[in-house]
Amino acid sequence: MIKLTIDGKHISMPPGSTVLDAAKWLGIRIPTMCHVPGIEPAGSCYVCAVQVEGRRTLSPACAQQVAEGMVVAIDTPDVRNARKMALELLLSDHAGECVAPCAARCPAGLDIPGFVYGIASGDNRRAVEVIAEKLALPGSLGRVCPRLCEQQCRRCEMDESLTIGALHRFATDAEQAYLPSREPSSGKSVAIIGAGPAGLAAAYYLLRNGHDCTLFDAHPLPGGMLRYGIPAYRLPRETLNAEIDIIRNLGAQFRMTSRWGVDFTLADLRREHAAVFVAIGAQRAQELRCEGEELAVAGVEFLEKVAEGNPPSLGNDVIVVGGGNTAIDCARSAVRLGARNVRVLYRRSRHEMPCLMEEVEAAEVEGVQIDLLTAPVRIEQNGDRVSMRCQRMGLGEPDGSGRRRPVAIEGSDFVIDCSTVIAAVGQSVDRTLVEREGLKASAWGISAEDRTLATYLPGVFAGGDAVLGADLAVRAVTAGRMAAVSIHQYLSGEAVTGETAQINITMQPIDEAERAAMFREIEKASRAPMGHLSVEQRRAGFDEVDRGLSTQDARREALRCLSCGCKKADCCLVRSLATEYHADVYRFAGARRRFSRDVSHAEILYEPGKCINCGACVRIAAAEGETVGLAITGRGFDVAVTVPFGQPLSAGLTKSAQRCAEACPSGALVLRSAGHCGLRA
Amino acid sequence: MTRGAVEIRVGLGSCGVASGANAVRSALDEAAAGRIVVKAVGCNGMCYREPIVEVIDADGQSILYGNVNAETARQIAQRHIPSKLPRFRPEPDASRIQPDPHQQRRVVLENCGKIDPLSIDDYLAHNGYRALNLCRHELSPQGVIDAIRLSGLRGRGGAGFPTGRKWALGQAQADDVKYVICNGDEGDPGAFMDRAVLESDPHRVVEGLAIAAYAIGAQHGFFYIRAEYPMAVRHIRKAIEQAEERGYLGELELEVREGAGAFVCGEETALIQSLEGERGMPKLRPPYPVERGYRGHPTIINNVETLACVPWIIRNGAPAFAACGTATSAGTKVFALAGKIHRGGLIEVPMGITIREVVENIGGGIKGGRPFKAVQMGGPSGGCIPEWLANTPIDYDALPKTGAIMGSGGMVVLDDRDCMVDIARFFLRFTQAESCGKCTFCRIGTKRMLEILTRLCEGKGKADDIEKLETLSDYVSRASLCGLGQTAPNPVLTTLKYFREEYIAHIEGRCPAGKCAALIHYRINDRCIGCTLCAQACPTGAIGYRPYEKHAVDDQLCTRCDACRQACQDDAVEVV
Repeated sequence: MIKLTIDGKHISMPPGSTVLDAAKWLGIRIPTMCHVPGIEPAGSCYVCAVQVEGRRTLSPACAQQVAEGMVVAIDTPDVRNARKMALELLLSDHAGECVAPCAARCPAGLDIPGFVYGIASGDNRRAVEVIAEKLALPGSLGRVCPRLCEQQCRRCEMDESLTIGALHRFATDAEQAYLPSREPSSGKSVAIIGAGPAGLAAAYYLLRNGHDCTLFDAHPLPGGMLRYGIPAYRLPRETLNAEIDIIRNLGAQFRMTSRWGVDFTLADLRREHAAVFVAIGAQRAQELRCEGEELAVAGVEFLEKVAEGNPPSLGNDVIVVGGGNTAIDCARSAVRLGARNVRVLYRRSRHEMPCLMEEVEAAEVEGVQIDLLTAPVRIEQNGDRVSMRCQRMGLGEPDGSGRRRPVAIEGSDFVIDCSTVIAAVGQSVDRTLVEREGLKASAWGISAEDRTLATYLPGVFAGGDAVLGADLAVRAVTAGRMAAVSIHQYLSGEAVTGETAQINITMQPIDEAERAAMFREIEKASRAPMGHLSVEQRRAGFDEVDRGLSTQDARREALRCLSCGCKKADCCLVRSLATEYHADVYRFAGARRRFSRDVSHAEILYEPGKCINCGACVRIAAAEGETVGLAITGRGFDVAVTVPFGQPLSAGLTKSAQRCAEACPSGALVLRSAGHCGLRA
Repeated sequence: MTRGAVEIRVGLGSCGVASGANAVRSALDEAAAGRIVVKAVGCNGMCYREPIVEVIDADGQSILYGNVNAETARQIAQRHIPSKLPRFRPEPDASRIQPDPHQQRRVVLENCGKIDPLSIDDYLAHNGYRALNLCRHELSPQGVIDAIRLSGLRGRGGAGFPTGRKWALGQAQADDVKYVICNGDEGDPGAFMDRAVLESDPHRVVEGLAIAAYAIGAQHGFFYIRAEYPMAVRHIRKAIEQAEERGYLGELELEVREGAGAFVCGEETALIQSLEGERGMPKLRPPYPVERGYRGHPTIINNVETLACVPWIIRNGAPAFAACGTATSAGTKVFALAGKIHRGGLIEVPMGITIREVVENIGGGIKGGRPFKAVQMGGPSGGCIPEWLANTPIDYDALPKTGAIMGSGGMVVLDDRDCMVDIARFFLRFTQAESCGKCTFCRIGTKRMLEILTRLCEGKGKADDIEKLETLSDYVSRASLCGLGQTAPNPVLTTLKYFREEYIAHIEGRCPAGKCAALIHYRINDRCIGCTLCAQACPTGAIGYRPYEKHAVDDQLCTRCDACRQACQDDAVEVV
């Protein structure tokens, strides 16, 4: 027997054993990627590198034979650095993407191909479960989300994007009865200030983890901006109420019409609860910053009154100032309240408008006039009417937001006469309140750590618009989920590190050959149409405009999904180790292999761009006695695992395909049945 | 007064053939018409003067002619071939040259350029197979190993492992089947020592391998020679055949295997894989080949030059070999001397000679009298030693201290117009292209290093590039299985160590050596006399043809080919 020492522990091993074997006996973990038990070690990836005392070089533990008196260090900073660098180098030459481009763009990180696969296979329940992993209030978001994902959909490069939002809405509408399970009670309670999307989402995930939640909100009903900022024709109240009911059914307590700083203080909550999540949103309307601004109605206040069923009288001629979603919501609501002439004034051009373009188009269809490059100068009361002096603008140099700065054109003043002016030029966080309650404020709102959402006060977390300033609902919901993770860690006495963000590798830019490889065998198909109410019906009230997809259309649409992303995303060793070692995907960016895919085999797929050249498959194929098998070919950077003699993969692996795919540490060789790929393949 | 010649030798190694020596030989054959021996010999090392003809007169005196062509060969024949009738014997036009004896010491190359490599009789006439006979009849295998150990011979392939110790380990293995392998997979760019020996004196290597086999008790031996060396393969095959015929090999079976030209197959575990019919990829040692090598049996692998030393050591005694060189590095070393040097070619020098002595005394100094900047030693695995360390003795201890290595014997001399970043890039491009692709750091790490060097040379360097190069170099050298990866960063590390300011200059957008095209501009200074030589030399018309006026370079049209600067007689073209 050979005696050696690993990380200070002594062990005796039979001759011919490796350091990895010895570590296993000692219960010490050494990360490995290309090691396949029972197959001759390659010792090539260097993720299992260890330091043998007295040597200049590092040794791969999987191939390093034990020697008498050997002293091995497993986890020195130098060794960790080497592993991290090995992973970074492999990632720099990885032609693949862990998750689909749509999912990578989704602020919530929703597994889009995953839930779409559920719909495509007729399993809406599965779709909703996938969605619920990442997203609270999915039915509401399926309606109001700006769907950044759809812009990234790879189908855009071929025909049209998948209607991800509509599918998302379809699945949740179809499975309204879905109530997630709850962990046994932890006996801990969390106070949440604000029952808007961030607060509700935090409650949803905290409740699922067994914690009690009490939500405090100044409004009479929960929902926050979803209820009081988004008109019912975009988000029907039944949908929102049903989703809030799910959270209520999970056990949430609501303390409505209680105002922070008036009815209770942060100190009270900290005394009574184990943790606090501050999600007060960005409620304060910003001023127009022109003379007579007090004559204008604030957009958010207007929408709130409409939501409460108590709309102010507007008269016939309404002017809305602003270019965001709130401005368009105000204008379209005004139309529904009977105003005959509704104009939206925006000081930049259409291109700079921060709202969704489809909203602008819908507004125009409903008769709203959009006046671009126009800014208010002064508002004056004119009897029971209001006159607004405006100025034409030109565009100058880009400003801090990257948009071109509007510049007033001298002598272009003109006056508009109207019955009501609505100012919808943005909202901000009430920072005075925040500071008075003992939290620190940033330029946007409450100061909190990016990843954990922890404020400087122990046990107090903050997120959503309250931290970011007015932003998308999907970001608020995501903040709620992130806060729930941190708070759960905090309540469980663990280190508060926030959600583990798995590394994601993307493939940019994609060249023509790669695109061809991706789209091979894919037929063009146009996008499922979404039904709309007629313009007359729309103008007549607040019924939902978009009518959703039929079951048939939804399934057909789901089948258009290319299931981008890696089928081994959840079990890829390169990815999980890169995440564990905090590898920087772009540290060694440079030339990389191109994406290609061998689809010749009935059981498995081969994407050489993801291969780490460990040769595990080559050795397995040889060990199993494949006639043709696989071989490592080429030299230098271009070395690749190929089937000899230019044969297809189906000829190379006749009996060991499954074993090869299972041993492959990356997504290079995958079973066709793995992940959510099965349908088309 | 010239005496009649008794033998005319014409160098027909690959270098000679490439320079047109076949035509010279035909002309000499024709002129000699059987009256005198025209002997095809190998390379005598003076590659810069090929084709070379050597005339040996009746007194054994040698007269050397260089740069010979068919016409001058006839003149040489006319002058030296004896005839009954007195005749006019003018001096041939071919230049009479002096041999390069300064400080050279010929052990490995003692027969090169003297004997006919295809003739075992010629080899026998030069003490051939005496050493093998001595071993067989007067020395036990242990005695042979002791002699080699005493001689201090170390592996000439690069690593310098003591040969005697390697053989002793081989002998100690309890296995009925053992192998010896001659590693002729010489792959360093610019190195051709082994080729010259295999081509010019093949029997010597066969004899060396046979002695090795005797010492360790091997019954089989291989010559692993790269397929790019067809003449070496042919000559060794012939030598084995002749040695077998004459019974010198006894029971020993020798075989030639041609390598497909992968640099990494010079690494012993990869070489064995290649011999076994697998792709040549290194494996982690242990197990070492001496324990488990070819087909799992004990195998020792020696480089061509190492084996070529062996017969000399046995014949002349270990002390004679040990007396040459230094205490820890005995004997001589053959180098392929190249670069900005007057006399390039194969040289053999005693260990311990300084770099400066090689450059100045043997190489004849820097071409064009330019400043001596550095030498690159050891090829892609080696490093650059700056001029101010040129008094470093060439031995196995002093060289590694500089960051370079002895290597297999490439020695490239650099002057002030050589850009060190460009040199590092050149060697790294080679190693990157030759990586077997197994280890992550070697396959991708060297690629990233090469990308950095390339962008530095293209004037696109980034502020953190030097730091990145250093980090990558560190880990590539420590996290690669074989010597290729472990030494690949050496050219970068040594140039960074000694010429860091050149790297910084590249990041700042300057190439101090005036080499990197993207970073330089050509200007004509006031020394211009308007002679138009530069304008005539310019291939792109970037210099207008204006006699008697000061010329000017159009920077847009200029491709930085340097033709103008080389054409100018007045130092009027400068790089800024």
